[in-house]
Amino acid sequence: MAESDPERAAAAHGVPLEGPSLTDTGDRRAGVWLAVVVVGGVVVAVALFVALGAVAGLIALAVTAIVAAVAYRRARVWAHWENPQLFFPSSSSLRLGEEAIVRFRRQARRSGGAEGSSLTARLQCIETVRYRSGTDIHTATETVWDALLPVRPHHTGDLLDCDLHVTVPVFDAPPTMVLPHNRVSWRIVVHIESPAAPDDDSTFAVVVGPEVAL
Amino acid sequence: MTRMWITLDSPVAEVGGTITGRVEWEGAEKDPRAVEVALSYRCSGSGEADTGRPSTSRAAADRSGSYPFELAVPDDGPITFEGRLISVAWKVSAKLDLALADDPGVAEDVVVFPRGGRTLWVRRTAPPPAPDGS
Repeated sequence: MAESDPERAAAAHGVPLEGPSLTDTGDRRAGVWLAVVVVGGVVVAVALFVALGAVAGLIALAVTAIVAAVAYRRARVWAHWENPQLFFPSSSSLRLGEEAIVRFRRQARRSGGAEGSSLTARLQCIETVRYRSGTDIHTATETVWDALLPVRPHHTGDLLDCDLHVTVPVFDAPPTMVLPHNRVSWRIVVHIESPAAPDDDSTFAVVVGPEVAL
Repeated sequence: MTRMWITLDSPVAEVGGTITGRVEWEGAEKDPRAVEVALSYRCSGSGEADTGRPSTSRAAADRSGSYPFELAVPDDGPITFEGRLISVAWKVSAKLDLALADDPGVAEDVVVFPRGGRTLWVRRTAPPPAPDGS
């Protein structure tokens, strides 16, 4: 049977699409901020040009051009793809030792936009600490778990639709912890390569509870 | 000189569980106002430390005596662990509250496991079984 219908394909593989889901809206947020910075950068460059002369204006223009290039790249991703979503079979929080199949879906904005696309996914656990040095506050991070997730694609066309087989380790990393200066966070990072758009990473923060699933 | 000690029923617990035991003391120099027992954690390492005291118990006390306690471990931990930047340690501490004097106290380390993980962790840290016939 051709799995042209994503709902049917999901049902055939036992993954409900109507479970809890997470959405990464980073592209839209980044796009707005980068647009603000670019517009502000041009204004500042012109002001420096008038006030201080050519050198200061050219430096400001160069910085603005670099930000504009990043903004253009993000805009191309946003123009090509809808916001990505991650669907969980039951709960969006995981447990130590748990094995779960979560579904990643990302819709292209035009027909056939997902053709030729591929993805890789990783489960990561990150320790983050904040410390004070003089009057400055610094942040240090360390990735304590980083595993490539097996991926099973179901359907392409205008929809990138894949099962990610998530296995949370039992002993090798702690569960999610949020304290004022110390934090343990888990995330699923999906990297998409597409012939029609720049490569893009989608990041989903997941909660791993202090409970063993075995 | 005040002597004070804690006897734990078990030095390990799971999140959402309890730590039970008894604190005993003798020879307090003054009449204590109370005895206080607390379960606390300290999260330290490369960053600034975070501390918490999620469970306490307090009762009237004499110069000598004992006090059985039951302290709740929070549902959301944190669990005891030693990571690369962060480590979390738990302890039970007890002190006598003396008026206008230093409070004598004592502490015992405890280990907090994830829910359902106590058996797994104990099995993991147990020594390997002796070979047959030895």
